[in-house]
Amino acid sequence: MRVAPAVLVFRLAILVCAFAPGSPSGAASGPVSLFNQANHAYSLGDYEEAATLYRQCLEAAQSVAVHYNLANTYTKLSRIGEAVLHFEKALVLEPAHAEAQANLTFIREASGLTAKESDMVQEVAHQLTLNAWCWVATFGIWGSIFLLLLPPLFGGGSLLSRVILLLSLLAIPVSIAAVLIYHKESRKIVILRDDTALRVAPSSESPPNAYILAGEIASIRTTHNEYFFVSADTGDTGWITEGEFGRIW
Amino acid sequence: MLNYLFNIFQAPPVSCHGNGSTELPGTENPGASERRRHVARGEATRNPWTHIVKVTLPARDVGERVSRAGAGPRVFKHRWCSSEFFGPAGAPAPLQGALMARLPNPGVPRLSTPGYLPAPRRGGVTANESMTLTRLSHKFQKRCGQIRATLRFLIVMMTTFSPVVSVNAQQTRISASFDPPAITLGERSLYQLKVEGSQESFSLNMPRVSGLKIDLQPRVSRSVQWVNGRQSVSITASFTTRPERKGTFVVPSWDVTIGGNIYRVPAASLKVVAPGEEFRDALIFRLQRPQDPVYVGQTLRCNLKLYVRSDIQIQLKSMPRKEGDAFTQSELTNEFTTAQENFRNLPYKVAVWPVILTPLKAGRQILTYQADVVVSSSSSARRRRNSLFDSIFDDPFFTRNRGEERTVFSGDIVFDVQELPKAGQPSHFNGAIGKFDVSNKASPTELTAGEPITLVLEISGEGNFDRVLAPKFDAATDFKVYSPKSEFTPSDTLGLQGTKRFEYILIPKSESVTSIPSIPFSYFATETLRYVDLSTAPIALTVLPAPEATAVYLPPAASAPVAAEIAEPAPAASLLPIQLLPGSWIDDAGPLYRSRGFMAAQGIPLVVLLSVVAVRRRRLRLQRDHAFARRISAGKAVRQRLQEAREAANEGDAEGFFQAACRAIQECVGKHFEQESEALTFVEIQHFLGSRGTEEKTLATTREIFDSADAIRFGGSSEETFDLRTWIGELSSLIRTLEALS
Repeated sequence: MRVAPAVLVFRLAILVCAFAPGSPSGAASGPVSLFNQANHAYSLGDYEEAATLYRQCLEAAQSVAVHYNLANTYTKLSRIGEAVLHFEKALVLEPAHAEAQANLTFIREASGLTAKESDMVQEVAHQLTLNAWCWVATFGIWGSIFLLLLPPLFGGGSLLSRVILLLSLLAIPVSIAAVLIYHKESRKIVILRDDTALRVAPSSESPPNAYILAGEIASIRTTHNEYFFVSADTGDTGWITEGEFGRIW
Repeated sequence: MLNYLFNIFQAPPVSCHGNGSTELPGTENPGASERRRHVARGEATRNPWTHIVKVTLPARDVGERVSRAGAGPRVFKHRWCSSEFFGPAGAPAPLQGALMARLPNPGVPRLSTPGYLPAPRRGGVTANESMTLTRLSHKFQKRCGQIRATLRFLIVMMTTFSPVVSVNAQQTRISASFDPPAITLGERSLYQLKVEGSQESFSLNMPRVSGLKIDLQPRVSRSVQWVNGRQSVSITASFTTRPERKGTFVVPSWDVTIGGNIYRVPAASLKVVAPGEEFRDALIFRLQRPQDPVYVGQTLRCNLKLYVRSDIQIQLKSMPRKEGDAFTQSELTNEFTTAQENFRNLPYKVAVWPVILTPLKAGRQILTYQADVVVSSSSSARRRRNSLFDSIFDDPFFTRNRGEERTVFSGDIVFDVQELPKAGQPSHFNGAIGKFDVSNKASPTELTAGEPITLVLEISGEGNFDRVLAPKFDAATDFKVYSPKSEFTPSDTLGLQGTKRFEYILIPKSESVTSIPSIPFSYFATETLRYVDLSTAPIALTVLPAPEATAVYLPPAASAPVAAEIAEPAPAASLLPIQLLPGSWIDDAGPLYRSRGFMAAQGIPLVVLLSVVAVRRRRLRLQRDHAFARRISAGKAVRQRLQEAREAANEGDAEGFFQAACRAIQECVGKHFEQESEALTFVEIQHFLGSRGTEEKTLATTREIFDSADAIRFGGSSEETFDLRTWIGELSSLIRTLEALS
């Protein structure tokens, strides 16, 4: 059977794409398979199995969808702490993920968790991912340097170059501020167990200062040996140990 | 071979015929033993190593068994055949000793002329047997003569170099004992006479003991040991004794003659009890304890000892039990040590349990111990005595001998327990008794108010650590102090020694705190019977004021868990569905600025920027700086003219070569002039070179090039008169010289 050259070229291109290094279908075939199996288990109502498969998937590679689905699975299992943790992780990877935002808001309201209002700066920062802000800062800094140093050597810049310089200069503080906000949020943790005691002192002998619910967000302020002094969004502070929370970042 | 000869010489076994066959055990190799068996089977005459000597004993000296065999001369057979080995008395010294040792009162046996007689059967030998054996013996004697010369040399060598010589130099020691030292009526004990350090012949004159029947046919054994390269020889004669009544029998001290010297044999006693009384004083409980007074709360390191007389064996049915509620005691385990001690002049095997006692009450307190044991008969113990693996407690506690069940009591152990003295007792004393050291450490010592400090207090030493509690110190005004965590790490199995560690968490309330106060600790020293104060020194602190965000938070009363107050969420019903596609995969979700690749990529725009700036600035300089531009262009022009000159030289074009050479010189010098280089004359060039102090040779070469060019161009000189290959080298050297001029 004779095959047209164009068809041959097309088939060859498909093969190259299929086996090209770094292609999602090739490199992540393991995670993809696990992801599909987990989805199947989820659809059958076997949430424990689905959660196990999603976790195995995350050990190989991360994606927003895996975190999101795992968070949904934990919600089905009434493990609110882990559910909030993985919704937050999904939003770190993609702040504009609408489903994750919606489900996170929903379980917070349903569970009586504190929802801390974001200010405008945070809202702006969350318009892009952290890495996107890093690129913005990079281009802003280098653009500003180029546009400040080169036009004098070429007899002065045009209006366009001046506008670009202005934008670059403006992008620098905005992007750095956004990166700093993300950096601050990197200390955020999620309480994993209900009635977690916030101790007054970093000691097992210490009395509890307060108890907080699973899924509450807190920030690590300092550490002392195996204890972490945290400040929860509820306003409570105290010392907890590593196993009592999950890190968003 | 030498070794074999040495052995048989050192320990010649003796076979005795006519008085019942008896052998003298000694150190020998298996071959010697085999040959001795041949002798016992009556194969003596076919064995070249068998020599028969006739020993004539006086009738009055013959013992009981000898008398049964009949009076008259008795024939003893010795393996060694040579009369040269006989001692002064005419018999081998070991043989003499052996013979005499096994006779009740031998005196000095008289050896008759050696003859080669057959080994007699009981009751004597026939004439035919005697003749046959005599023939064989003569034949053997002939062979012996051949061997004798060789052996004589070997013996001389052995006696010269062997350690046997040192035996004679050893000090002779005599000991006597009964084994076992205590028996029940009807049993037998061995009276053992041990001669150490001598293998000379010895004669016995043993005293008789009323009520104790001694079998005068001793069993003689000989042992050779090597200790630190020295040989130690001992001979033991064991006499079986049988008591006829119960009581204590003492074989008094008596004399024994060894090698002509008289030695004193010490007395030995044998205890004989009626059946059933043999276990009296056989099991004893004792508590090895510190001397009084002891104090309430003091930990007493004691040893509980169970003495078991060496002639019996026991099996523990239970661990020793304490009776007495005035003491607490550490747990007794199966891990006890064993020893051997003499108690009331009797050897005992001892099991030792280390035990910690703590008095609880003051006053005269009584403590007793008891244990259930099964005591086995002494005969079973004796059967095992020669076991290769016999050790002190091999079987007493682990064998399953049938025996009598008994309970062993320790009797009352009285303690004088006192209260700790009130005089000199520090107010903060909390009951520590023993000997201790204290160290403390705080971390961090520079902090802000509200941050926690870990204060570690370590108390180490020996004493009642169970009563060493966390010292309390008054810091409530400056610190928030939480109950410390305590941990004890023992350094011995009883927990009497070790280190107790207390970890306090302190939170300074304000920046006005400057130090951690002293931690009070004192103990009662049992050695000096005084209180020792080991309170720690204060630890300096640097406390900075807390920022607003981390202001010191002192806790309110702990609120109740909040989860119970909130209804169980039921969020799962309204969740948005899961996603069916995985989306893009991310290997590393970390921030980009932590990526090394990202940071390295920042070098690219930096390199581009620097390159653009450098190129642009060079171009601008070339436009603005003519001298710089001339220097740059002169270099290029010189290289171009030189290339033209080389090509002309290769073509043999002298005119072209010299014109190109002149242009190269002009370009090279022209960068120092404002005018065009092509317009430079030789005079100007000469003037310039002179002003730079150029060598005369350079000037001459330059002049010659210019003159040659003019001569060809204007004078019509022939081109063939120039060696252009030489000129190329001259020109290159000249150009290098000119370029080097500043």
